[in-house]
Amino acid sequence: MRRIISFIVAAAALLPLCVTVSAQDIADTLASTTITAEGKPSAAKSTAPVQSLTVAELGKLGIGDITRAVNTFAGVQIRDYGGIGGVKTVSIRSLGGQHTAVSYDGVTISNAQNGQIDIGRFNLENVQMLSLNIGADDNIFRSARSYASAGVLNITTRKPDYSDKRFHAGVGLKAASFLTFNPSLYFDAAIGKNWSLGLNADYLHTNGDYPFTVHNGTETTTYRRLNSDVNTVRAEANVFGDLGRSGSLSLKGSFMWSERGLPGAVILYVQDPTERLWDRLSFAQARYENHWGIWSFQAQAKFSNDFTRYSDKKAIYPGGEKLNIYTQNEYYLSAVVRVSPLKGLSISLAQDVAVNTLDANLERFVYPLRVTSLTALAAQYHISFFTATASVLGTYVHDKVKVGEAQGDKWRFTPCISLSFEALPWLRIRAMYQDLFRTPTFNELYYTSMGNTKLKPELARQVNLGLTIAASPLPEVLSWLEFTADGYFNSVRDKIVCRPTMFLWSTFNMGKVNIGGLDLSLSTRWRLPHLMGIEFGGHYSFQHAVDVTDKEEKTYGHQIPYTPRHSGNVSLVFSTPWINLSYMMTAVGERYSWPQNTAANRLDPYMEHTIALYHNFEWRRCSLLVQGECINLANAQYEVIHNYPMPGRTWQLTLKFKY
Amino acid sequence: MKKFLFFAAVAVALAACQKNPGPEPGPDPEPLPSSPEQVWVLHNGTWGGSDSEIMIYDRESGNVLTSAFQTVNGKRLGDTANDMIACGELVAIAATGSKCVWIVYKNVTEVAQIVVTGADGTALSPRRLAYDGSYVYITLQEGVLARASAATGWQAETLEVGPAPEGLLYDNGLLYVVNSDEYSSPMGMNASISIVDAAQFKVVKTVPCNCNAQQLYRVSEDKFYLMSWGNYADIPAALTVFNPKTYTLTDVAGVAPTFFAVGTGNKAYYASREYDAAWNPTITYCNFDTSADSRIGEFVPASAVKPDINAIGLDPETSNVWMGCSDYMSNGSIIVFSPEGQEQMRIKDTGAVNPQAFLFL
Repeated sequence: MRRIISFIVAAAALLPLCVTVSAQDIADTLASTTITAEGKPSAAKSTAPVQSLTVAELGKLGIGDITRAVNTFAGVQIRDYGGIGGVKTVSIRSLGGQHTAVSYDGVTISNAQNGQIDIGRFNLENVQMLSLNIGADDNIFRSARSYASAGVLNITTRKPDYSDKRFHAGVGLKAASFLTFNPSLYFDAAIGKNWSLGLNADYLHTNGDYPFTVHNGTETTTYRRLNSDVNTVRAEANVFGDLGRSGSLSLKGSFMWSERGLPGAVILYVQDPTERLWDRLSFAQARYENHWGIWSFQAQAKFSNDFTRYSDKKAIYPGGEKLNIYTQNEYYLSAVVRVSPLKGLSISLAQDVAVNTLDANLERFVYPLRVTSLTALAAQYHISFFTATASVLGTYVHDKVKVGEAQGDKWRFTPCISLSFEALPWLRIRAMYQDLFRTPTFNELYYTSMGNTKLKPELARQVNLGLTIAASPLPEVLSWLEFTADGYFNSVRDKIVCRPTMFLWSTFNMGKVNIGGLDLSLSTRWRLPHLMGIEFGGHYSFQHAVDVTDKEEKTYGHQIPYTPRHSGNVSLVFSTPWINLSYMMTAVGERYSWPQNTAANRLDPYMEHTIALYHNFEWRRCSLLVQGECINLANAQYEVIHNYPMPGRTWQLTLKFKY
Repeated sequence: MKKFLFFAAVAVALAACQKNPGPEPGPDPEPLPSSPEQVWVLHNGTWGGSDSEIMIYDRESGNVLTSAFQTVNGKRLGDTANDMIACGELVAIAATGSKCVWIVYKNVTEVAQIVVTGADGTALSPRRLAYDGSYVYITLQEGVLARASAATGWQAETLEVGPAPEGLLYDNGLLYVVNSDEYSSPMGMNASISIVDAAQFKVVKTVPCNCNAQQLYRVSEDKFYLMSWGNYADIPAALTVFNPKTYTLTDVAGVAPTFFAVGTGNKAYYASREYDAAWNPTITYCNFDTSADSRIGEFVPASAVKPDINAIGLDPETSNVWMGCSDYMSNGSIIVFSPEGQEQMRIKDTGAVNPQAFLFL
C-alpha cells in the first residue's frame, strides 16, 4: 500500500516539471482532443429513455465527479449523505436504489448484502462514457442481469486509441477545499500488433470538515462536520486483445481500498461521531466477444471480493468498541448469443449464473449463499422508421444458510416491450412497458434479529410514453437541437420496508406506491463567430410518487420520502479559443424526510450553482488541462438526506497532463 | 465577447439570487394549557431526526398542544427522548440521542440542561429517570448512574453501575438500577440489578437477573416486578417477581410483557407481543392480578389498538389506561381506556412520532 501511495505522490510531484508550455506553442497547437469517444447511444432514436455523457461532454461541463454527472440525467434521484465519504446511491423514477443497476464495462455490479451500489466509489478520471437507460435497452447483445432492473447506469471506461502513438501516459492532480487532494496517473501501451495494456491509479484524501449551519427554532449555529475524513486508493489494470477472426478479449483487474469516518446524522446538542468504515473491494473480470456472419457470441466471467470493517468506539460497548466485519464474494458467469436471420431482425439469448456468499462476525449469523440463474430471451426488429424490442427474463433464486432456515426458492418471468416510430423525419414517438422483480437482499432476509425469511419479492412495473425531436434547424447558428418528453407511470407492490417494532427493527412487505411523472430534456448546440460556441441544455422532472398502501393510514396519498415533485437542471457551456466556461444549476423542490408529509418533515427546496473555467493547452504531443471550479457558488446550505448537511461553497483546481 | 459577458452576468445574478434557507418558522402559536391538570406525552421522534417532542393534553378544556417544548422554548428538545418524570415543581426529560437531560418548569419553560460526561469528557447517554425529593437520578447507557439537583447547580455526580443500565426505581432510600447488558455479545447474559444507597450514593448490592432486563415496577415495599425482554431469539421475554428485602427472583409463568404498568387495587396491565417467523406480530392486551401474580384475561382486543402500542401509562386520578400508538411512519396517536376496557377518548395525531412516556400532572 505504501508503495502505491509513494508512486502516486512521486508522479504528482513530477507534474510541474512537465507543464512548461509557451503561449505561442498553445496557439500553434490548438487541436482537437485525441481521445476517441465510443459510440454514444441516440437519445432520439431509442425506444426507451436513454441519456449519456461522453468524456468530451463531461470535460466541457467541467464535471469532476460521477455523482454530479449522474445528477444531470432526468428522472434520477441521488441519495447523498454528504461530503466525499458520504454514501451516494441512485434511484430511477422513485423505484428505489435496489431497482437500479450499475454496470461497469458491461458487467453489472452486485451487492447481495444490501442491494445498494455506492456510485461514489468510482473515479470519473478513467471514464469514457456514462449512460443511463430507463427500462428497455435497444442493445439486446448484453448479459441477462442487465434486463433485471428498472434502469442501468452504464460506466464505460477509457479505451485508448493507438492510431497516432504507441503509448499514452498522464498524471493529474486535483486540489480542493477542506484539504482535499487527488493525484492520479495512467499509462496505456500497445503491446505488439494486437494487444494493449492500460494501468491507472489514484489516491484521494480529504479532511471533509466543511462548515454547515443548523437552524434550531430561533437559533442558528454554524458547526464543522466531524469525522468526515476519507482516504482512498484505487488501481485498475486492463488488457485488450484483438484476436482477429478469433474475436476479442478484454481482462480487467480492479482494486479499491478506503478508510473513512462516518459523520452520521447531525444530532442537536451533541457532536461526537465515532463510527469508521474500511472497505477493500476487488474484482477481476474477463470478456470475450466474437462474430461469425449472422451470429455473435459474448461471454463474461467475474470474481469479486468485498471486505468491509465497521467500527464504533463507544463506552456502551464491552471493551469500548463494536466491530463488525463482512465479507462478500461473487462468482459470476454470463453468455449471450445473438443471431440476425433476416434483415432488421435480431434475436438473442442470454444466460447468467451468479453465486453470492456473505460472511459476518455477527451473533447468530446464518452465513447465506445464493445461487441466481437469469435467462433472457430478446428480439428486436429495426427498420429506418420503426424499432421494436421485446424481451422476457426468467429469474430463479435459490438460497442456502448454514444456520437456521433459508428462504424458499423464488422464480418469475418478467416481460418488457418497447417501440419507437418515426412520425416525421425529426419526430419519433416511443412507448415502453416493463415488469420488474426484486428479490430481498441478504440483510432483509437474514440480518440478525431484523431479517425476515418470509419476505415476498418486491414487484414493480413501469410504463413510458414519449416523443423525441432531433433536428439541425439552422445549421449555421443552431447546429443541433434535441428534445425529449416522456410521461410515465410506475407502481410498486409488496414494497419491502424496514421499520422498528416496539424495540427491534424488522423488515416487512407492506407498501404500495404509485408514481406518475414527466421528464423533459433539451439539448442544443449554437455556433458563434470566431470559433466560439454555446451548448445549452437542461432537464425538468415532475413526480407524483405517493403511498397507496392503506386509506386508513395517515400517510395515504402522501409523497414518498426524498422525492421532489419538481426538480431540474440547466447546463451551459461557452467555448472560445482562449478559455471555456461552464455553468450548471441544479434545482430541487421541497421534499419530505418521512412518509407523513408534515411541516416538521419538510425539507426546503434548494438550488446549487457550479461554475468552471478551463483551458486545454496543447504542445506537440502533450496537453495540459487547467481547470478552476467553484461548486455551490452561492454557498447554499441544504440537505439531500435529513440531518446530513451538504458542503457549502467549494473551490477546486484541476491539472491534467497527458502525453 | 459581449454574449460571453452577458451569460457570465446571468450566471452570477442567478447565484446571487440564491436564498439560503432561513431559520425554521416556529409552530403556529397555540395557547398553553391553563389548567394544572395536564397529561404530558413524550415522543421519541425518529431515530437521528432530533425531533423528540412533548404533547400536552389539558384535562379541563380537552385542548391538545403539540410541539410544546419548541413552542415555549423556541428550540427543539433533541433526539430520541426516552423518559420524563415530575420532580416537585419541575419536570426532567431525558433525551438519549442528544445526550442531555432537560429540566423544565411545569409550563415547559427551560430551567437547565444537564450533560453528564465520562472521565474522558465525552457526553453520556441518559435513559431513565427517578426522583427522591432532592435529586434527579439518571441511568446512562455507558454503565453509569448520575444524580443532580438544583442545590448543586444541576452539576452531575456519577457512580459506576452495571452494563447498559436501563430501568431505574427509587424506593425507601434505595435506588434500583436495572442493567440490561444489551450491548454485549451474546446480549443480555450479564444483566443485573444494582442496588444503590441514595444517601451514600454507593452500590450496596448487585443481584444477577434475567436476560436483557429492562424495568422494575413497585407493587409494595417487598414486591417489585421485573420486566425483561430476552435476546429476541431463543430466550423469551419474561416477568419476574423481585423481593427487594431478600433479593430473590421468582418467574411469573405464562406472562411475557413488552409493556407493563401497575395500577391500584391489585391490578396491572400489560401488552405482550410475539412474532411468527415472518415477523407477523400477535399482540395481546391483558390485565393482571398482582396479588395472585397471574393474568386475569384480555383487557381489550388487539383490534381496538391501531396502530401498534408503543407506550402505556396509568392515570392515577381516574385509573384510566393510556396507550401511545405508533407505526413509526407517521405521527402517533393516543387511545384512553377505562379500567374496564371501554374506549374513553382518542387523540388521532399527537404531532410527533412514537409516543414513548406519559406524565400525569
